[in-house]
Amino acid sequence: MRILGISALFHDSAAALVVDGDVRAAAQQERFSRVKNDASFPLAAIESCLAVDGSSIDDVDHVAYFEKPHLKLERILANARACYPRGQRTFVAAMRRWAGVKAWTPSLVRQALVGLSPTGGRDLRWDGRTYFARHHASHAASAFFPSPFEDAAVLTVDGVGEWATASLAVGSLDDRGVPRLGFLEEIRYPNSLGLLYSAFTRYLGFEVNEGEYKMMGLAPYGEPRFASLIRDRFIALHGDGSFALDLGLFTFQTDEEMFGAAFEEVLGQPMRQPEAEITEFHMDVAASVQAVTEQAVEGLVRRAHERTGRRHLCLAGGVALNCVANGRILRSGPFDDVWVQPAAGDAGGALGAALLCWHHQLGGRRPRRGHGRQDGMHGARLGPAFDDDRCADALREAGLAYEKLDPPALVDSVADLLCQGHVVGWFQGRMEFGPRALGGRSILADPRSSEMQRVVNLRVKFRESFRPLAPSVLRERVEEWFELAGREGSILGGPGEGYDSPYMLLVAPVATGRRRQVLPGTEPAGLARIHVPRSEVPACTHVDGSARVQTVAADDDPLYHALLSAFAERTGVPVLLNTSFNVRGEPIVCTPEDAVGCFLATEIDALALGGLLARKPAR
Amino acid sequence: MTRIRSTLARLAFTALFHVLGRTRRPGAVPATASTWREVPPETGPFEAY
Repeated sequence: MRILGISALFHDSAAALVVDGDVRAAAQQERFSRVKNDASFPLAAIESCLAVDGSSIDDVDHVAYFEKPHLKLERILANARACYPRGQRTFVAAMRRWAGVKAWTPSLVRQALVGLSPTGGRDLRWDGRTYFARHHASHAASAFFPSPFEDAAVLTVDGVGEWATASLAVGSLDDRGVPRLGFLEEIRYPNSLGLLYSAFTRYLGFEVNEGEYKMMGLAPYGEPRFASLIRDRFIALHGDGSFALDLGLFTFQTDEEMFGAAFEEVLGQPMRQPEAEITEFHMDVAASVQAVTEQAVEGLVRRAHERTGRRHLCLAGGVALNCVANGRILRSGPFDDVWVQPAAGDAGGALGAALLCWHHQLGGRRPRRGHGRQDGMHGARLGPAFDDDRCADALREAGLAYEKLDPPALVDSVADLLCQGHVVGWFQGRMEFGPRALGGRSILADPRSSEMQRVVNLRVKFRESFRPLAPSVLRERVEEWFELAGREGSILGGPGEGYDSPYMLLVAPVATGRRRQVLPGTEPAGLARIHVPRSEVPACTHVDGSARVQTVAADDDPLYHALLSAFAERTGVPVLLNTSFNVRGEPIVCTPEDAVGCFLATEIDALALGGLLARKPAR
Repeated sequence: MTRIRSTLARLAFTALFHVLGRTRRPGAVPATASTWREVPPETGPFEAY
């Protein structure tokens, strides 16, 4: 039984293919169209998922869509009525968009998929009806169904779906062993933690739905001196974990902009213009919003525990990509385990809708998994893979010399290059689903170099120097290097065992013994703080001594695990700097041709393209 | 054509419903009250509404 899941027409369009409950393939449209956060109907992503499976659209039994578009339209209409006469221009613009495309989503889906049929739709197994899941139900499904838990609280938090902006559910197995979600309660538009975060992202001069990571990365540079102001004036946090925005300060109900003059007046400064200098004020605002967001998320988590009494927590929705908040939840409890869907944003809704159709509509069970703590995401390596012949063609086409190596020789050569301070493009196997590069489409470097953070940000990725870079670490040695541990009842790693963080969605402090003291009086001001070494792996240690950790287990990714092991043998450090294989403003590379293009346009020194290794002359 | 007519009718009905002010109103929640709400009952799985 094949189910195609689709997320489209908002941002981060994506497709996912679920076969008999197994997540067979998933990919974001942006990787194929090369348009960041592409919202268009994900035809290329659908074709890719089907190609991975070796099937065609004719073989698909059901089609699931990640939200109920007409329910969303209801919210827009209700909002326009409530705000009338303000926001008429925005409303008209929205209605034009809806009248043109979105209102016709059911027929758009049908027409697009019939257009992919090799038989012109004559032999479609699908009956033409689309299974529409609510937006937050799709998020919740993407969080619970592939999680390692049979029983869990499920919390979803984002900007807005149809009406809900946060929802709470409980996931469990029914008496036939079929996983089920029971939805308990929700917080509705316009009260939205995601929109609060996005409004401040915009205020700091970053792009909404893209710059949130930047604000999160900027936060540790500042002091949260505006946190109480934000709690007093912008968002009220209630004792039961719910919250309410002061709608007088936000304009997203009536305008394309998130806020207006009143918002700026409260903060005492106008918004930062993009590319303008980042001052201490901006860092402090970022720190304050992050602090309030973490406090709000903790309130939601507390509520989830009170309402469900479960020991494990699953998270999804855009706010679940806030890995600083996720790390704090894991450390502070009360849940024994926290598992975050790696494609927690709207792309993951495609997968959630397909899984919801399989389990809820069709009553299907989860497929058998390898071991008790294994999730159903296949390491998030759900995109296309390319063989060495295709890789060789891409290199030859670009006029690049290369050598073909077997896996042990490739690992040895790349480990040697990394030890010599070279930056290596690592293009291996299937592409990741979700915003993080996990060893399939990564740029790797030696984390021991205090210069490497600057080199990678400025000369390889052409992005802001303050952006932190993340470490990959051998799973079995994570606790030697990071304060990332579970508790007594944890499934994903107990005390002394470290904790599974395969999707780079948990931030943890670098282990005390690995940290370096910064001498009093030597701390520079502002963004220059990133250049002060703070640990034995300074290139991937943030200014507050934390790191966004990816654990790599041999079962999950043998080749990447072997590379980390080879680097550890040479250096004693089982850690590599791992950042996504792209440059600023572009999606992560998908094909060998994308990777070669990125390699040539940047100061990446070597490219491991499948089993082929290409090098540039030394810098 | 039947489907288009049906969708248009549903949209018109929705608009009318809201103009008559008989549904949820954003921004009407006092800042001090809990904003948790019951999850509305599911419409049919093949309904876009």
